[in-house]
Amino acid sequence: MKKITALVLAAALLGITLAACGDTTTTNNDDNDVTRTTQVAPTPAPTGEANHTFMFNNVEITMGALPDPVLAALGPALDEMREPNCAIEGEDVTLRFPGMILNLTYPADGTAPFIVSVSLIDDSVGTPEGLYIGAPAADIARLYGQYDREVNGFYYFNQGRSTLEIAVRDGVVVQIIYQYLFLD
Amino acid sequence: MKRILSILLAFVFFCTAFWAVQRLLMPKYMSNPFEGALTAEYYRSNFAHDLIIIGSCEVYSNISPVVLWEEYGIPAFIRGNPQQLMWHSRAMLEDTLRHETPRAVLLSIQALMYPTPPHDGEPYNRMVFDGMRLSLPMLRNVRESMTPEESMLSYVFPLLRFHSRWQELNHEDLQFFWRRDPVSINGFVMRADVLPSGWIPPPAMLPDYSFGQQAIDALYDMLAITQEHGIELILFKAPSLLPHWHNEWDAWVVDFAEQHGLPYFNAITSTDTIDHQYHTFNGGLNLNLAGAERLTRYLAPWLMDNAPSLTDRRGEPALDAHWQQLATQYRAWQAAQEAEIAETGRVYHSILLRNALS
Repeated sequence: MKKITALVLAAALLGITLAACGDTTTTNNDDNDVTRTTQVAPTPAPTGEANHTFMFNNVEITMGALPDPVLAALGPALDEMREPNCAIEGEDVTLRFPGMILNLTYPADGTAPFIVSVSLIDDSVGTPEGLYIGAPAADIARLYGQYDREVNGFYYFNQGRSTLEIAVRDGVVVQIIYQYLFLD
Repeated sequence: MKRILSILLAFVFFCTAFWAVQRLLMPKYMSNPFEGALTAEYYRSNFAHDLIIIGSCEVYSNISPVVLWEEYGIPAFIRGNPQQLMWHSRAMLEDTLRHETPRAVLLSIQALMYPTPPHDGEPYNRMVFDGMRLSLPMLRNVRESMTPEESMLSYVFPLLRFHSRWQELNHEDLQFFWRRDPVSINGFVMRADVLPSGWIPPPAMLPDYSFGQQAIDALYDMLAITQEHGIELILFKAPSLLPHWHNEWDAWVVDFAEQHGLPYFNAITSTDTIDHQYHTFNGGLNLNLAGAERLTRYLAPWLMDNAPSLTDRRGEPALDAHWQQLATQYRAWQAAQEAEIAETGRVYHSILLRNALS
């Protein structure tokens, strides 16, 4: 009888150990889905948060926003590159439009995709404030005021959970990138 | 006496049940992502490797151990995992040295570009460490690899992280309770199909091309460990089109290699050997079988010139017999993939070695 009691107690202890794990994650029917064990996904910006917005052919492209409405409004891209995650679900998508490159990500954990960045690649397009590749560096302060951070000629202007990165070489703007800051 | 016996019996029962439940719930990595089985696969090898190749998919898809053996007599094993970062590679090296001391280590340096554990790095940490045998170096490397949300205890007792796995157990969890099927040939993951590279976006300039200190520290650790064990360390960069490998990064590696007298093989310059219209299965990120075999034939003579400890071991009966077995599996895998490509144009079913061999 005592043996049975001891075994029952041991089984109960095991049950308590397992129950202590809780059940807080979402379920998924894929076999051996290691992504299920982590829900450490980037947090898409809530709608309405004042992230940077780039205008392209009258289409608003807000960093961190859902890509689908933007893609529908933009129409087909000139080029596309899909870069799947190594071994697990999810991928990064890069699209080229005239004068700009759009980056999207489809997270591995199945959370909503979002716009990661917009890069201006020539002077055929400019920012809504009027900055373009090849503009004199002095235009940066005139158009944007005081920067938040500067690293080796790269000026950063933060807004919401996004930043505008402007690189200067030899007194000229050579790179303009809007980026969603999806890491805390 | 009876009471002590009862307590002892209960303790044994509890431990056995705990072990069995943990084993049942542990991901088996026998289907996607099957790469999670690569770490443990090493323990089934013969631990007689002159060359250990360490890195991410930049090595496990790109270098053929069978070609290294059959044509150059170098017995090699690839210890690679998806998105294997520099501190993961150090873990692989330290783990390897618990079982054997190779003559040379070929280390992929691409992961120097990743300064810290990424926010979404847990699945990759798990793939590296789930199959690794428990040891103090392993735990130290786990600590350096963890994201803030992870706990060390869950690596010692993986059961603690499998909350909802109960609901998803299937026949595979029972099928592979006791055994695992191989997913690679000595760490090499074969893909014989072709997906040519298309448009590649221009690389963005960076404000700072310095590597992260954690990655550099791991590299220095590996340098010290190999020197301590008398192992030749060779640095390697695969000919991948993406992620972009900046010239500034390469200059740092060249300087590091010169400072420490290490050979450095940068295969990006092997453009006359690798054609990303034919030799890649994913648009230029990794090589397919044809690309891997070409790169290996390009790399191996250079290795033998620059790492004098590597010699032709063909003709040693035990090694010949062992590698003959591996080569047979390799050819069967290749044949299965080529048959599937002829039918569907791509490799799906025969990505898994067990499907090819069944």
